[in-house]
Amino acid sequence: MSKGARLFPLLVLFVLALLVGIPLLAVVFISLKTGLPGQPGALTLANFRSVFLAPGTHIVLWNTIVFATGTMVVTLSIAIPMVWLLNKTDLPLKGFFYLLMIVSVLIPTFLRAIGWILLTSPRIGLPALLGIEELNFSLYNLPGMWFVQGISFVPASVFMLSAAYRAMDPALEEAAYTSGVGKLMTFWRILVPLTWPAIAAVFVYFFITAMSVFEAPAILGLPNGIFVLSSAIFEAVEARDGLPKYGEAGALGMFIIAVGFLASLFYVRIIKQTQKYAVVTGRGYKPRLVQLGRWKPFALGFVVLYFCAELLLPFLIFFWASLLPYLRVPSWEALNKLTLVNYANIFDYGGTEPFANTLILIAVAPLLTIALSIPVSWIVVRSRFAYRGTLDTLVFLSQAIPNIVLAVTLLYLFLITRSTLPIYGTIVTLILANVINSLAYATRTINSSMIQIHRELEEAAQVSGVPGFVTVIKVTMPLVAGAVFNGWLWVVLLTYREVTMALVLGSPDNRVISTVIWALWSEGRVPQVSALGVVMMATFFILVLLLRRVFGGFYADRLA
Amino acid sequence: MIQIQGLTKTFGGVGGRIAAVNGIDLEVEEGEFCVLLGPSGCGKTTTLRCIAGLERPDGGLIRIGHTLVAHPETGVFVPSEKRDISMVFQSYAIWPHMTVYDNVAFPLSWGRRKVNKHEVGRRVDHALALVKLEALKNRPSTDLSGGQQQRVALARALALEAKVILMDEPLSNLDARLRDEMRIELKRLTSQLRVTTLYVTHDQIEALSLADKVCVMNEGSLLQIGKPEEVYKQPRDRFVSEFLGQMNFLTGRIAAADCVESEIGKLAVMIPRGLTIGDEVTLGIRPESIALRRNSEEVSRFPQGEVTVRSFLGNSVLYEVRVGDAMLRVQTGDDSFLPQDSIELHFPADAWRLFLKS
Repeated sequence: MSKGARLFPLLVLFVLALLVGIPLLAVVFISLKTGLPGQPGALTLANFRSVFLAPGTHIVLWNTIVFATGTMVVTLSIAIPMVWLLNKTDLPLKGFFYLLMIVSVLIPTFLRAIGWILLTSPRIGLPALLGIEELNFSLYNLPGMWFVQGISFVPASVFMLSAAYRAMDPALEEAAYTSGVGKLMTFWRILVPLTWPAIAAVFVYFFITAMSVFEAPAILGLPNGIFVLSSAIFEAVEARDGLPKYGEAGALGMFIIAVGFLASLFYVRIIKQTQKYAVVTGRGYKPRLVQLGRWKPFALGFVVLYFCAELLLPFLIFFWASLLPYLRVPSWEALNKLTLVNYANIFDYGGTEPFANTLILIAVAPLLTIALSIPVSWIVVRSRFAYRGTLDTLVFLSQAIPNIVLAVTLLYLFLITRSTLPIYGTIVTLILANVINSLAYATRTINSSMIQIHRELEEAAQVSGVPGFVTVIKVTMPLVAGAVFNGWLWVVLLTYREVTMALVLGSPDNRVISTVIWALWSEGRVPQVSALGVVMMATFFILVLLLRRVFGGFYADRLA
Repeated sequence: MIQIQGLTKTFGGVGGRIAAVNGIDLEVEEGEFCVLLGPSGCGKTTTLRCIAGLERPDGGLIRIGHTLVAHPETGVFVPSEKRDISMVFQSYAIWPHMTVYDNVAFPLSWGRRKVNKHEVGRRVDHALALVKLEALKNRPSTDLSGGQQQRVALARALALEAKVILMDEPLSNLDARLRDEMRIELKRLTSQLRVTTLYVTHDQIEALSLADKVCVMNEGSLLQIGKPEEVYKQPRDRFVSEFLGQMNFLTGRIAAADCVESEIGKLAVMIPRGLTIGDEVTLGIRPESIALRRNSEEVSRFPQGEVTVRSFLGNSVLYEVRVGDAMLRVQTGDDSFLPQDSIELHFPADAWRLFLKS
C-alpha cells in the first residue's frame, strides 16, 4: 500500500476528531468554566451547584420528564395501530398514506405547533368555526406540547417499527396457527413478546430525543413560562435579563448528554436483543393480509383523522391565513378579502438575504456531510484500518450531543476564537453545525448499503490488478450511488427545515427562512408566517412527489 | 386422510390475476408419505398452504380426515388453528423468545389441542427424545444451530400428534451433509410413526428417497402421481423425466414394431401402446441405463462413439460420449475408459422412454 493510502484514514480520523471531539470536550469545559467567555476564570463545579441547587431547576427536570413521557404516550398510541394497519391489513390507499408519512416527517415541528395554535385559537380557529368560542381551551401547556410533539414523532417511529416488523419471519405467527393456537393467544404469546424489543427501542430512542427537542417546548411552553431542559438552556444563553449564562447552559447540557448516554447504552442492549430475534427467514412468503371487513371505515377514519391533525389542518390554516390581510374565520365576507399580497411581498419580510443564505446552507452543508461520510463509511465497513472502531465511536458520539447543546457549544467556541477565526455570526457557523449534526445519519445510510455489497466484488477487481482507489471509485461507488444520493437528499431536506441551531447561532447576517418565520411569529405577523409556511410545506410536498416519480422507491425508513 | 378436488388459487399481480394452482386433484392415504415435487413457482407451496389454512383457495374442496375444511363454493373455511394438522416450516419458525422445551410445549399448553400438564411433559420429552434433543431442552432456542432448530421444529410438529404433518421444504436451509443425515432420520421417524405426511420440495433426491408417493407439479398443475420407481422409470412426459434426474434425448421416427430410426442410427426399442409406425418421437434414456464396451474392431451393429470427457464421481464415472453429431452422457461403474477412447454403446431396449413429438 502506498504512503498516501496509509495516511488517508488517519486524515479522516483527524477531521472527525476535530468535528466531534472538540464540541464534546467543549461542553465539559463550558460547564466547569466560571466567568465570561474568553476571560480567565477557574474551572469549578460552581455552575452545577448554581443550576441544580436553584429552586426552579427541579421543576424544569420534572417538566422535561412529564413532557417526554406524555409525548411518547401520544406517539406510541397512534404509531402502533398505524404500523399494524399499514403492514398487516387490507387497508386501502396504503401507498398514498406512506407518501404522506414521508412528507409529514419533513414538516418542521414548529410549523405544526404554530398551525395548531391558530387552529385552536378561540376567536379565529376551529372553536369559532364550530361556534364553541366560550370553551376555554389552550395549547400553551404540557398537554398541548404532548399533542404537537407526539404527533410529530409518529411518522419516524412508524418507519422504525415497520422496518422491525418486516424483518420478522411471518412463519413465526403461522407456526402458532398451524399448531392449533388461536388468534388472541398468538397475539399475546407470540406477536407481542417478539415485537416488544422493537417497541421498547423506539420508545427509548424517541424518549431521549423528546428530552432535548426545542421547537414545541419553545413555541408552546415559553409564553406561559413552562420550561423544559432545552428551553432552559436557550433562555440561559439568550439572557433577556443580563449576561448570557454559558456555564449554566453547559451544566444543563452535560446533564442531558449524561442521561442520553445512559439511555443509549440501554438502547444498544435492546437493539442487540432485536437482532437476536431476527432468525433465519424462508423465501419471504408474503403474509396473508388481515381482512378488516366491517371495521374498514373505522380504520380508514383513524388514519385520515391522524393525517388531518398531522398535515392537512395545519396546512389548510396556513393556506387560508396566507390569503388574508389578517386571520379571520372563513365566511363569504372573508372570501371577498382574499389577496395574494402576502406572497407578492414575500421578499420584504427579511429581505432576499435569508433565501440566499438558505440556498447556500442547503447547497454546501449536505455536500460536505456526504463527502465526509463516504470515506468514513468505507473505512468503518471495508478497510482494515486499526482505528476504524474509534472512527465508528466518534460518529456514534456525534449523536449524543443534542442540537440545542451543540449549537450553544459552537456559539461559545466561535465567540472565544473570534479574533483568530472570524466566523462568529456568519453562515459558516450554520454550515458547520449542520454538518456535525447530520454526519451520523448520512454515515448510517451509506454504511447499511455498503455492508450489502459483497466484499468479493472489490476483491475481484483487486486480484485482476486494479489499484485500490480505482476499485473504490469504479466498483464500490457506483454500487452505493443510490444510497449516497438518498442520504444527500435527506440531509438537504433536514437542513432546510432545521431551526433550533439556526436560532441559537443566529445573527443579523446569517438569517435563514426558518428563523425568519420564527421571528415573524414572535412579532405576531400571522399572514406573513403563513405565506412562508405554505412555501416551505409546498416545497417538501413537491420535492417528495417529484423524487418518488423519478426514483421510484424512497428510502424513508433509513431516516430513523 | 387428505382429499383435494379441483383446487384453484389465484394471486393478484401487476398484469391481472395469476393462477398459482390450477385445478388439482390429490388423495393422500392414512400413514402415507406424499411428496409434492416441482420447480419454484409451480404451486406446490401454495397447495400446501391451502391445506394448512394459511391461504384461502378460490375453488375446489379440501378434506382432512372426514372434515371438510375448505369449500369456497359454500363458504366453508376452517381457520388453521382449528384444523387437525401440524406443520414444519422452511425457516423452522422457532419462537426465539422461548426455550427448546417451551417451543414444543407451547401449542400443547395454550392451543386448541391442549392437554393436561402431565401429558404435556410426557409428550414433549417423548418428541425431543425422538429427535435426540433431550439434552438441550432448557436451552434458549436462539443458541441452537440450524440443524438443531430443524429438529425442534420437527419435535414440535410430532408432539401435537396431529392426523397430518405438513412439511414445507424443511431441509432446504441445511448444508449438504446435514441434509443427507436429516433426510435419513426423517425417513426413519416417519416410517416408525406411520404418520400421514405431505412434504413439499424441489429436490428430486429427497422426493425419491422419502416418498411413498411422488406428485410432480409444474405451472399449477399435477403432471404425474406415482410410486418413486414409477415416476423415475416411466415418466409421462419430458418435463417429468428431466426433473427427476439426468436424461439423454434423441429425435427419431418409428420405423418398425421394435425399431426407431434415430439420429445415431437404428435402435432396438420397445414401442409403447399408442404409438404407431411413422410417428416422430423424442427418445429418452437415463445415463445409468447405457453400457459402454470397447470397440470390437469388426463391423458392429451397435452405435460407435468416442469418449470426450471423463468425470470420476467416486462410486461411478460419468462419461460424455460423442456419437455422430449427438452428445450422450453415460454413468457406469466401469472406470477403465479414457478420453479419445473409441467405444460402442449398448442400449437395453426396455430402457428407452418414447414421447410423441409435439
